[in-house]
Amino acid sequence: MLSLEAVEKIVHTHQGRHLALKNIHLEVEPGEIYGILGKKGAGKTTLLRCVHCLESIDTGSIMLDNSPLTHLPEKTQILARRAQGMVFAEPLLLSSRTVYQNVELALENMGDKKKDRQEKVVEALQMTGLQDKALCYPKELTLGQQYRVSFARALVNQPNIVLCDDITKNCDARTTHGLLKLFRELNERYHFTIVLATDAMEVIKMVCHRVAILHQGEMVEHGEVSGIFAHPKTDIAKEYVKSATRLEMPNALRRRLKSQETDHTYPVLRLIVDNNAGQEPFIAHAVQQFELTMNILQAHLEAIRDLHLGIMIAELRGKKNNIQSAIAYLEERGLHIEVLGYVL
Amino acid sequence: MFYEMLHALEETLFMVLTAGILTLLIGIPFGIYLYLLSFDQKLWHKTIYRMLFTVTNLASTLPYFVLVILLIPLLRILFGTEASVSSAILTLALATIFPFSAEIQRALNALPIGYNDLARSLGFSRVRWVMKVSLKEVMPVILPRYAQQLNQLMGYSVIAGVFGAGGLGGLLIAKGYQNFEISYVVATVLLVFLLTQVIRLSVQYFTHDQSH
Repeated sequence: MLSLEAVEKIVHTHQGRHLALKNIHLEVEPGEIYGILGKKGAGKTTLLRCVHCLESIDTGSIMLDNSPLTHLPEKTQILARRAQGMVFAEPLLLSSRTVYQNVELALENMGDKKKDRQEKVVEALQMTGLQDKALCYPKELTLGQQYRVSFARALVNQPNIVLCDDITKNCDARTTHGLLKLFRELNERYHFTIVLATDAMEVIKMVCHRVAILHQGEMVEHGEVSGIFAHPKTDIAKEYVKSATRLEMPNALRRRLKSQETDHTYPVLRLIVDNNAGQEPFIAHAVQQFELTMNILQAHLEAIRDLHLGIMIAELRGKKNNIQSAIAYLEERGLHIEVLGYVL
Repeated sequence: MFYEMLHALEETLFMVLTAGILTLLIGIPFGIYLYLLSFDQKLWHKTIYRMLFTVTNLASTLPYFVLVILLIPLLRILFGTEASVSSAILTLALATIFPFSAEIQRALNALPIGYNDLARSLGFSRVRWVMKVSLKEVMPVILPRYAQQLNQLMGYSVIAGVFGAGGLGGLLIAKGYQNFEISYVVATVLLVFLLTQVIRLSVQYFTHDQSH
């Protein structure tokens, strides 16, 4: 388990000193994919570099499986780094070496026998689907394959945890998709714990179990990805969710929408239904029971890892009291409901 | 004439190749040393680096002719005279070691900055990383530069003839310049041209083999 406690890091720039990481508390459980979400300069890379002992922190502590990773002498730092696999934002392959030799480089200082080394490299290449590229040179590979080599290099030492910097920022959609599939496979089949930095909510949505959102070095929100999707608390989280889903209200509706309730208005709701709540037709029940009419304005299904969220925007017409009771009824049964506004 | 030419060719080849090997043997370690030293944060090492860097830069820009004249007192102490093959070899080597080291340092510096993090991530010390990885990585850049240096050496060795070092340069001075025997001039010029082409092509072949 990786845990960060009250981690702070001060960076000195020519404009003076500022906090690159502010009071970060984080726990990554074994076997999960943990996402670090943040814009450029939010501190994602710095966070990973601190965990990987490439940079020191100023206060707080970082522990991996109950051994500290901070304030270590150089010798111990090297050992600590070997227990982790790091995938940098660029593939960083050596052009004078074949794929096989590039991967083998990570075993160079380990003192393994040649035969053991060969076994490990072949295994790592198989995990990343590169078995038939072993003798190629990096130049001959696509970007996606290059990243796979960089992955194999990080995995070959059988690390406890794999840190992965924002690799998808250089990739097109198809390459990203392929790499994310690889992430899930490595996690599900080989049980690697992965910490993944990215600035795309799409990436988080597809692979991560949990996520922490960084903003200017501060952790503004963290938790289960589905939870953050269903009800983001901070503006920054809301922005991200909006960017990754089609939760936008239709323009025509937005113009009609009023923020104040009067006697003649009806509420417009956003209803979010997850897997569990979706097993029985609660909405239909509520509409019948409270004698309402429901006008669905927009609806779609959002896939978050294995969870499906049904999201819809709907107008509820009926008696005021009944509407209130219906909302209460539905909330009781696990639906997330938000009143967006009122229409005549 | 044939034997004269052959003898001169032999002398030139000896001078150029010996100086060329010295350039490799001293230039590469010195270039690596400069590169490694440039990262060192200790004040004392920084001072050494500044000094070596300045010397390298000055020596790289000094014309060969001026270098020999500057070195004459030293050559007289070491070899008794500046007009010998061994003193020519020393001046030739000194003329190419510094620019070649500077090329090595430049090539190492031009590698992606991310490699430094990668090296640390994989548990390499800086020295080991340069020896095992970076050096091989910069070879495709370094080898053509080395060919350039060898061709420079050919040119310098002809100038060395002026100072009495013999070789093709010496022949050219003695027969071509002083007696104006046109056949010698043509023959030496052709030979020098041929040699530089052989060097260029062989290195080109070698680099092509290296970069896949």
